[in-house]
Amino acid sequence: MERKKVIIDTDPGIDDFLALILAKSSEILDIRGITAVAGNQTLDKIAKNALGIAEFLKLDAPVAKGADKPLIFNQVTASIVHGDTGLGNFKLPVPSRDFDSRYAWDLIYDEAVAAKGELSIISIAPMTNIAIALYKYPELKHLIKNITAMGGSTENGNIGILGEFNFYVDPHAARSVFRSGIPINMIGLNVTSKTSMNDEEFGTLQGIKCKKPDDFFNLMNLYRSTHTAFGSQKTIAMHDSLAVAYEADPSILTMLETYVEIETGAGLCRGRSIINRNAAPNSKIAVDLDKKRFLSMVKDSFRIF
Amino acid sequence: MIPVLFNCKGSSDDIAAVRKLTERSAFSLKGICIYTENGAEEITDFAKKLQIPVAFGAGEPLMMKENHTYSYGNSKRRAVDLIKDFVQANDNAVIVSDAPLTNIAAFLLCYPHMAEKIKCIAIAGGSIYSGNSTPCAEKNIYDDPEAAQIVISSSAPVVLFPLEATRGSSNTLMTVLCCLIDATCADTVECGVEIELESSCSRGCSIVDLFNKRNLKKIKVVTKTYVEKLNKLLESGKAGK
Repeated sequence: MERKKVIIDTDPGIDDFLALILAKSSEILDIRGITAVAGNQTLDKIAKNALGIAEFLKLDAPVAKGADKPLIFNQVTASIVHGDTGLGNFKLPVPSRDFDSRYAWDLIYDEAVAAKGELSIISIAPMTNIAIALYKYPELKHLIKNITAMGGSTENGNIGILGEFNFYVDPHAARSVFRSGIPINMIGLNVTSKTSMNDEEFGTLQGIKCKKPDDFFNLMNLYRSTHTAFGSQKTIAMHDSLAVAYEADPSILTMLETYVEIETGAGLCRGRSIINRNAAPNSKIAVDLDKKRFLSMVKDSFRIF
Repeated sequence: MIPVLFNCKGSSDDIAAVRKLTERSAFSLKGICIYTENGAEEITDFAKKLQIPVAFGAGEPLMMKENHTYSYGNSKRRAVDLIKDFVQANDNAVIVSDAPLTNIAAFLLCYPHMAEKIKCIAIAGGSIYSGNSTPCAEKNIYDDPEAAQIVISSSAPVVLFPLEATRGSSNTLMTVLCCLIDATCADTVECGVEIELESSCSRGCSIVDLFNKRNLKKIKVVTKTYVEKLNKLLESGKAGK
């Protein structure tokens, strides 16, 4: 079977790291490129992490740098969740190669042309790189098969009351991408939050046999300690991994076809993904997941750690 | 000679401006970017005779409209790439814009490392107090406010010629260029400028922060031009007959 060609646009970030582990372990996905964008941390840290993760996972796909800030607004980071480096105190190997010489948007375009309409983008970061790719190469809308994006929410947000981080950080980019005509699968916070592992589910990770168990549990514990959303219980939600999992196996999510518009105003609704059931659909949005199967996919992927 | 790229809409005024410019040896017109290919035949033919490269923009504001038809026409070179080649090949590159800033914003997004190589982006657009598209918004900004905000807030040096500065001028392009070579033709202040992107009645309005209340990156804003002085300069040899 021919594997699905994907570019992963990312801002690692701990949950991006977990998502990249899942993508690398997949027998279905063929990672054609990693593109880094300012988001969870500043671009210099993000890009360094992306290259280090590629080294750690023995990925040979090109790693390209993209935008160092959102299109219009000033950068907002999530260092409170991902630590000062974006990956806590996790030590990545020193990269044995350099970044691809192309910008993220040029790499996306070149891979889209090479894949002849079969390239998908997994977007797990602010959409700045993808928007710039569309401004430079409008014909991309005919070349990209689909975009599966972790972003938005039909319910509450995380950084805003209603705004989810990725869309909140660069709502102008998200709006451009949703309006591009490319089919979009929106994996919003309303569903990615349901991936939260409780203490019991987290406990089952202890049995995982991986090469660097100490590093692995340090990273997971750091990420987990930032998620104390529900009372005193620590949880760990793998938002970005769900977008990767959907691209690998669409049957894990229940989707709804609808129209999504992104609020670009700087006010109370900044970055909100507004669902309009009365307009012709431009997206599919996730409404529910098969959690058991998702967790088993994720646990399985950790063995490569 | 100052190397110049002109970003315009390809109107008959633009053609007249280009003709005037090419008669002046102080400037060397290296390229013309036009907002859209539609209706640009005349200026394209004219530029071809003068062997000035022409490229087209997408003809739509940057933040795409619904079901956009965004495309770069049939030209071999996209506007963003003509600007890139121009900036790469010329030290002291001057870009003059009398159109929506879509092409220039797209260039700055696609080639972020090149902003600082530009000598100056001179923008005929915006206003300090009045407007023409709406009571407070000037047309070039109003037609693509997000692009204007991207250009003005970029790390490239920007000089803004708002409505108040170009009123009464018969040739915006030459007015802008003459002010650039002889600072005494204009009154200029350095201050922050921000574009209103949201409000329904003020969208596209350029807010000139004359008292620097918002602590923005400072650009040059021309508040007044001296028409007689400009005309003299144009007639004299200094602007390069």
